[in-house]
Amino acid sequence: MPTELPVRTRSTQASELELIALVSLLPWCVSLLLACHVPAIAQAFVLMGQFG
Amino acid sequence: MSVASARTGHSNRWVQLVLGIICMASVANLQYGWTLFVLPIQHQWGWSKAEIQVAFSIFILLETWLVPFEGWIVDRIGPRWMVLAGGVGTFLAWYVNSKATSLGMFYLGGAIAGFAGGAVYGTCVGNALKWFPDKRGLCGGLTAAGFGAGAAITIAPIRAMIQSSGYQHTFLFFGILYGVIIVIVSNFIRAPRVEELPDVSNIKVLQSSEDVPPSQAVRSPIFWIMYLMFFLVAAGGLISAAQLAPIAKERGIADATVVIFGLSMPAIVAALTFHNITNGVGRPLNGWISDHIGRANMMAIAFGIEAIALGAFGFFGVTAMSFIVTDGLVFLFWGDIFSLFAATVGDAFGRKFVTVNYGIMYTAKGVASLLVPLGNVLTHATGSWHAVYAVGCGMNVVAALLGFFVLKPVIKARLARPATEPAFAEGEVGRRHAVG
Repeated sequence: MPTELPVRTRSTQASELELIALVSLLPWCVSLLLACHVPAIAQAFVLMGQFG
Repeated sequence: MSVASARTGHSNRWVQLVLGIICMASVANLQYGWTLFVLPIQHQWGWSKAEIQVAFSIFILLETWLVPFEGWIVDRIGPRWMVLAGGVGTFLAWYVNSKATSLGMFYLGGAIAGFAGGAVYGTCVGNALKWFPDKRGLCGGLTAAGFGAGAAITIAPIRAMIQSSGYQHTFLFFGILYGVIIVIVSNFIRAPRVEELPDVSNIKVLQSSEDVPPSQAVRSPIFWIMYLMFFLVAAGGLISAAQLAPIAKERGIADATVVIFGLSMPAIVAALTFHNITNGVGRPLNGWISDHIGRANMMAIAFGIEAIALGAFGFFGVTAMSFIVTDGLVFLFWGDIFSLFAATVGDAFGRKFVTVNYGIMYTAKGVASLLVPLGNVLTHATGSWHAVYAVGCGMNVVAALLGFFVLKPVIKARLARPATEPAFAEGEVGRRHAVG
């Protein structure tokens, strides 16, 4: 009988980098686009900078 | 761990905390000091305030969303090189601003500042969480508060130098000063070795025995419960804070004068000063309480009080004193998101990947900013501020309920579960059972 391969794998550096890109760079690009086109969003980031 | 090494570790880790706070204070004016430069830049070049503030938006965007990426690197190579890069970036950002002759150059300065600020912020908070598994709330909070305190003590000299020597000289002077400080300190900053960690018996809150990498952490429900709570509290406070100045004007508080400790000052200045103090104090204070009563318990209490404070500010802050006090209370229980969630991420997902894991959590701050314009929409739609504060209050109530009825049981279930699978990395910190 063939041996069943383990289905659970540890994360690799490559998959982690993809994840970081997904949670880091993608929303950054979206936010930048929004901030460029919606002044209220740009002001919101300024406000966050004053308090956060 | 021998007694001798334990002693060395315990004395050394407070030095590491102080070094982190010094670095945080040295990058703080990239964020909090910027507002002092806007008018002088406008007078010099004639650009609109909105055009100049794009540089600050770029800074905040990069500062927020690069933290996971920078944290991922820090967890692999240690804090030293990232803090060093942050120091060089701080100098470069202020240098570029001092030489800028176009908006594009200020935007470049903002981008460099965003990288540098995020690099130092994420690294120093993460390093505090690594050194102090027994005091994550207090020390994460102290490090985050150092960000504001550093700005508070240098606002006056920066303002004076801008008036006496011009904004360009000020950018250059403080760029060199901050850059040199961070670069020097970076040589001494480091992550703890296993034998330098405190004794397990000193830890009162539930903690994971596993070091969970980010790819696993984001698949965990507990992570997204916390992310949602962070988002709700950050957005609830921010949409309310956005209405602060117009409310003060409408209620006639902007022009009122108050006397505090014998000092006479405009009420709006007193409110801004007081809430800056409470915003900073709340981070270590509430973090310290959470070290003793448990993170989820403290979140439920803090966000519950925040809901009451928001309601009180929105509906009853109609006199100068009630405006100042309720506004201060709002920020006392708002700023603690930067210590409570940092500490909880460390507890839930372990020490080794805490910089990147908290970096991802920290991006909830950026997502929350996207909700701020909702406050203006609500005000225009209803013709009253009350709807804004009702929504802010409701968001905090939801976060408080989530903390007590969802996060607390999930933390207990997750961290009390028998270890049937091997740890992802060395689980050097034992499993602890105490308050949730």
